[in-house]
Amino acid sequence: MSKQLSRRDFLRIGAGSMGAAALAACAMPTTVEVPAAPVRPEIVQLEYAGVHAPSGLVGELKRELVVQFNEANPDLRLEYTWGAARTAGTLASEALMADIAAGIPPDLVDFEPASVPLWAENEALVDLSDRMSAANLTTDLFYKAVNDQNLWKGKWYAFLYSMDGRVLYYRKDLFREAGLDPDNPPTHIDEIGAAAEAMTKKTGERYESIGFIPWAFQGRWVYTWGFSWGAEFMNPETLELTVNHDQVVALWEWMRDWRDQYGGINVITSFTEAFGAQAQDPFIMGVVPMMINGNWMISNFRKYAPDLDYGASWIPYPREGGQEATWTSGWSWAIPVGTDYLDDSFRALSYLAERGNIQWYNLGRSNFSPYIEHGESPEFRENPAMSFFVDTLPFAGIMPPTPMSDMAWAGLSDAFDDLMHDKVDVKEALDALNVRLNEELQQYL
Amino acid sequence: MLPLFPIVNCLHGGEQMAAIRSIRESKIVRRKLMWGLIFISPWLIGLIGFTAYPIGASLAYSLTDYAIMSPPKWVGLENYVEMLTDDDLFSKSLSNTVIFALLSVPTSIAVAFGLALMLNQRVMGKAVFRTIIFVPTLVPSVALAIMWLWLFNPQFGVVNGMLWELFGINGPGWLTDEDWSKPTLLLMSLWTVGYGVVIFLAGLQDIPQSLYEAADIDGAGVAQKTRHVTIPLLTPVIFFQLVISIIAIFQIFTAPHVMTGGSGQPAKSLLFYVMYLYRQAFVYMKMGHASGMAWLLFLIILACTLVIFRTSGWVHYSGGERGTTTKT
Repeated sequence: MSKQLSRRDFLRIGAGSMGAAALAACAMPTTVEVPAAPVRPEIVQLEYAGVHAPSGLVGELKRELVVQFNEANPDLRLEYTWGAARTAGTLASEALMADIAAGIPPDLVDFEPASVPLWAENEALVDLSDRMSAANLTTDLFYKAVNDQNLWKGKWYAFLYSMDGRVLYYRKDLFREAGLDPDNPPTHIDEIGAAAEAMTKKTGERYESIGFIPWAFQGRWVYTWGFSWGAEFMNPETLELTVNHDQVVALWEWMRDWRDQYGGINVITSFTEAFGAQAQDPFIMGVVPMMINGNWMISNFRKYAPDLDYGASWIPYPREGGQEATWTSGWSWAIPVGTDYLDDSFRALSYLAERGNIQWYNLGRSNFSPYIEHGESPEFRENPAMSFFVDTLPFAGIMPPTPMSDMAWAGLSDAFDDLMHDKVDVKEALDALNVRLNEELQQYL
Repeated sequence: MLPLFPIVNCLHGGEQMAAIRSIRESKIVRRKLMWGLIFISPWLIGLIGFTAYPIGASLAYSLTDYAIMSPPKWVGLENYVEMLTDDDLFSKSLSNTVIFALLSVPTSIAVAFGLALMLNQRVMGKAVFRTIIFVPTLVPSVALAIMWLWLFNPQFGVVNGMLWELFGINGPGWLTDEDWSKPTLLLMSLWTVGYGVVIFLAGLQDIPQSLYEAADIDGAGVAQKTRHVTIPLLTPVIFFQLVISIIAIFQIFTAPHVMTGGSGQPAKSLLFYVMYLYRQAFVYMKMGHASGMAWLLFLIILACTLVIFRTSGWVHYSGGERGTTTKT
């Protein structure tokens, strides 16, 4: 005969089980145990977890590099695996976290540069300083923006192998059509305001084209505009974050006014939701004749609209307090803690980081080499727009390299969206965010 | 006598035999228990290792500052205090979830019930209709979210296209408009109401035909039969659906996460509780805080479920005993 449990017994058993489970869980590790390296086999298998799909243009370039590496190093076999979830800096890096926690990480990973400090602070990345020196990879070879993203607290945790940038693209043919000078693109915000108005077309209440949308494409991110507007996001001495800088407030107020001028956020979002990609790109289609976007668009134009008549210029800035600048980021390589064959992993990294390989890879995908010497290389100067991008790199700012980068990114994105929906006061929202970020930052300083 | 059982030796006659029988029976019971445990051990090990331990571990981690890849540091109740007193997004994500639950739970139950009533009629191709209603539940959630994202695109989506073509209406911004984003998600979720329909159908077929015949004799119409026979006898099913729906809705994640890239925009209107929990865990690397959020969610769901159970006087159990649905 089965006897039904009384409620009291049920609760007792339940609480007892939970207590036992909690007690078992309390036996949590207080130190990370690094297992001894296994005996090295004749041929070492290494895994490179990349962020780009193997079938795409960038993935194919990476796979080609891997093939060359394997031919040059017969005692190693590097395999390129694609898993965005195993790449930090995306919104899905949980698999990489779990791999590292379990002690079975990939041997080399693509890494979002801004995430390096947080992962380094959490003992997830190998300190490469000694190995970089031994391989003659020193800071004087690279742009300042690169070094600032590779190093955290003076130690190398990553190698930024591919740089990007952001500029103002404009359609020269449509400038001529609108009676504007195609050789004299807008430099200041009042000029881009006038140019945008001249190239905006409307049928009834419906926009056929909008000359410029400040927050569309790469303009969406505050860092893209911020450096041009003279904003500072961090005090480099104290590492205190200043995302509430007066120029950020001024920038967002300007964008809010722009939103109102063009009919409100729902009207503009409705317009931007119709944007296509590749051959249907709104810039190629002429429905947005000016845009802030990245260098990767150059290969898109080359492929889908080789005769496109366009130019590249500095991101517009205010006459007071503004400057010629841009924001650069890119992709890094890092070696997670727990890799079985650290020396071999670094052999792979240093091979891929050789000047010739870096130049070949970046030329193939219209990105920029972190080596300063490549800036003068004629291959990067063939295309006028690419050449202009290279000229912007010495004036490029970076996302403040602190463990708060990801939190700042999400917080700024939320605050901007709230602003566009009239949910917050710009200054109050940025002040509150800044306080929170600096409070969190204290634990790492 | 058996040396192993000295107490039995002290007994006499019938008592001795009864005791021996009892010992043998208890040995058989123990052996059966042992084999039973061996047979269910794969499940038991799984339950302990992959369910009980993680549950206990998350409770312990909720009292620590834990970034997954480095050892946890004890912080006591700090995570709970922080989320309850100093985290605007916590309250925003919770209120979004509660509002969506209030919208979604009654609507999905009503729609599932209505569809089940229709599918319970004697019509040709009934099985085909039932299959059609159930098939969407088999589509993976991510594929479903992306498909609806396209359908609800304000500019070239099919929904607004049809509204314009058929009624001359300029459709709203759907997921891009903060006033419409939650109702849009609700419309999407109704597409996968098939599970509920199947459960309601099973409940409908459990209702004795004699009750309808008696109602017919009394001259009851369709509406009266639905109100006085069908609904009262389906209350256990409605009750079950209510509890299950609330538990599920409080954990809503996949569709809004995929559709908004985790941001919960526009204007945080689609930032739900579990999305914010995920952000804490895997973007901010605050697994301790996220574990605390998970435990608070558990307590909220538990409280809701207890309230529903406490106020379940409206549920009609035909057998007269709560917890059984004996046929009459």
